[in-house]
Amino acid sequence: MLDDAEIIAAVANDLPVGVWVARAPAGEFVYANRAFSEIMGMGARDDVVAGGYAEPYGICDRAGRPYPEAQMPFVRALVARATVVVDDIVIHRSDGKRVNVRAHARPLFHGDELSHVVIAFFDITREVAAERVRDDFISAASHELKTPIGALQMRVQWMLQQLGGGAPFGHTQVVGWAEAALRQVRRLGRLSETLLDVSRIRSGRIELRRDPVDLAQLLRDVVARVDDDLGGAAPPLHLEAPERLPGHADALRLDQVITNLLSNAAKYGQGRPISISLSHDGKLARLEVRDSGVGIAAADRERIFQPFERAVSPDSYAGLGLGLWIVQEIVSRMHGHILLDSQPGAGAAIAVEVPWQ
Amino acid sequence: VSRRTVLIVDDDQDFRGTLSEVLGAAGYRTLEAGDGAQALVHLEADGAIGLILLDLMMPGINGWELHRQLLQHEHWSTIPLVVLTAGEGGLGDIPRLSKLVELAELLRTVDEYCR
Repeated sequence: MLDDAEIIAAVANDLPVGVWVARAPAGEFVYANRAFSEIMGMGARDDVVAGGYAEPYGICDRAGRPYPEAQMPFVRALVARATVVVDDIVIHRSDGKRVNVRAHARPLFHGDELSHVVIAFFDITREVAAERVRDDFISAASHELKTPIGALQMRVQWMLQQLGGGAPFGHTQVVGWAEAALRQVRRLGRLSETLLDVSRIRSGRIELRRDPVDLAQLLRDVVARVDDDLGGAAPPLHLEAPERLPGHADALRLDQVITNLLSNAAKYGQGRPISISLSHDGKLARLEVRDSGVGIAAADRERIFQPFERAVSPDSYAGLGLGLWIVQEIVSRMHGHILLDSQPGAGAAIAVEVPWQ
Repeated sequence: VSRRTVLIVDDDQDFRGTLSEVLGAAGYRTLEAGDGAQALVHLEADGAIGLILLDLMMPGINGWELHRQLLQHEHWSTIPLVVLTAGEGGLGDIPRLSKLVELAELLRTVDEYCR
């Protein structure tokens, strides 16, 4: 039979939170549990005191500099005589691993005298990584919006300037300006839909309709439109498709799958022709988009279907890193699958197969 | 030699085309390049380029790389360069405009370098 003290000790040791206790004011080590050692990648040291914590434990700030001793949670709790929370600590462990840590430092009082400081350490590495992904995404989204907004703003300002100049304009010319502006607005509209899809997919709110669709016609429509979608930058497209391929599906989502595959191929295809083929074997419709561009290394094949990822440097290829992730999500909801065939430098073929009857 | 030729280097054809149309209407001769490699072709062929408007993030030879190559060339390194970007980055001391620049400011800047 365990006594109460043994039970408390066992519970403290098994807490999923690192706990470390030191005596005030000098910081002599008193207690640490197992999770503390797991977070730090080393056991607690009984030979270090306040003023010398950073080096032995590898405690750094987010910029990688040794954490200032005067700002250590232990010291802050002593000064504040109240609980302090510090979440900018990064442990540079001796095994090379970096662990982001949040520390709750709480003073213990014996009467009026501050006798100990108890620090709870939480591993927040995943939280910090998710924050970084979110920040990168916001920055990429703002970048993606700026180019079409900039083009539209320039066009509208210029139209106003021309119209205000008093020179006579032909109907055709004004219609031309308005059409160009409309193209830019549509592009922004599609971009905002893509941004919304992130939350739709994440919260499982993509619902597929089932309408009669002619997949061959839909494909031809997208191919005819893709040049506009890409701001006029589409390479030559070779299309091989049956005259008709009627079935039932969500036409808008299929349109999005085809559009994303084509714009992806155009983006990474280095301006070389893209072949598109559509076929049907009685059960599955198969759409393949093949480019002759930069290709995808074996190591990147899984990653490119993850959100916010792409196989190449963002200095070279703008974008949100969402296209193939959205394709994958839609196709899997259609009970279909994706096949990827690529060699770095030799282009990529992405095929989508969905049940089609 | 005419100083009023502007080379627009941007991978977004829509942005590039709009800019070219606007500058064309303002009396400039414009050349368009979708990446650094196309920009180099124009530079080889055309000695009259008075200003380069340069986007940074581009496939192939991007803006940073093109800038490095320009610096190594006796004549091209003297051509004024203005970065026109949607991102945060820049090219050191090189003047930089956001893609959300006001048209008047853009035309003023171009005029300054092409006078």
